[in-house]
Amino acid sequence: MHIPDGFISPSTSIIALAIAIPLWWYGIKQTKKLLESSEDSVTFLSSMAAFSFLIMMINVPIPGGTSGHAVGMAVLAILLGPWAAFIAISAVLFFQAVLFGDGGILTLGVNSLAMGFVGSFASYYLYKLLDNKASKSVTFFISGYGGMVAASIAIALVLGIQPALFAENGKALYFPFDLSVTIPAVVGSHMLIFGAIEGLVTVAVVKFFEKVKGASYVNA
Amino acid sequence: MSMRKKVIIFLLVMLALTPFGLISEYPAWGEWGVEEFQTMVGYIPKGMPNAGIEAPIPDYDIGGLSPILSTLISATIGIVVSFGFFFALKHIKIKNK
Repeated sequence: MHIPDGFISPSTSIIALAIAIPLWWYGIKQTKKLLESSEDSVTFLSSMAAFSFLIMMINVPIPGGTSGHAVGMAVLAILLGPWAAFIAISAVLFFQAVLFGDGGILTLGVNSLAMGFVGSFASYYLYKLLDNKASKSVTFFISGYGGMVAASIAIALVLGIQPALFAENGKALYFPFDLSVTIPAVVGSHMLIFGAIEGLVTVAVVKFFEKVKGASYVNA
Repeated sequence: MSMRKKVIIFLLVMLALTPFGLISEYPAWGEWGVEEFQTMVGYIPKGMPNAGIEAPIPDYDIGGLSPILSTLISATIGIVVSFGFFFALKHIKIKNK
């Protein structure tokens, strides 16, 4: 789900960055409040960012010659709130791009908005919607599943609009497959497989940490 | 169990799991190299080659080391920078909060 540089037009990347920068600014201020709220919060927040980094490295192969991975968006959104989750995932994506060439520099805005913002907020509001109405396992699973599918929709849209907008002599300048391909491929695989993986990871990790003192910082 | 202890155990387990990511030989859908686009659509989209930067450890692969060791070192770097980022953020002053 990491869009590399060159896969979308620079103008698309810049629009995404222009949307992301004020959100990062607000998110950083919210995250600083969280960091100042208790001694342990910096350790816990760092650990959850590290968890997101590591889980994204665990590529799971699926039929059809592709692979994918969980993100941890719902774990972070439930345990830390959506703003800190957004900042943590954005920071992780930044380091993955700069150090390991995973994703891109100019595409950091669009990737952060999809996996960090759309994913975390969808997860968080699904969690809020179901909390105390469904069992914990069901709530956490749907939060992870829904966040992942929401993020995949954002990625599929951004990739899929490229060929119609940016072409020269009938040849795409950037990503060449349109929405009729990206929606089933990206959203379909996340609805069938990666959403479920994210859901299961969310159930396991949130249950492991939910009773940790100081873990429930959510107050957004 | 204290939070710190729980977090350390958790991250060590996660770290140990990262080499399983090597099982998959294929990239994520769409994250192909330029040659694969050549095969699939018959040309290389003009804007794709040479975009982006040259990363110090491309694809979490440290040349000369085994893939498993490369992955474990890359993952450890990931943990270190994650902690570095939030410890730095905690100590940076931001005006007009």
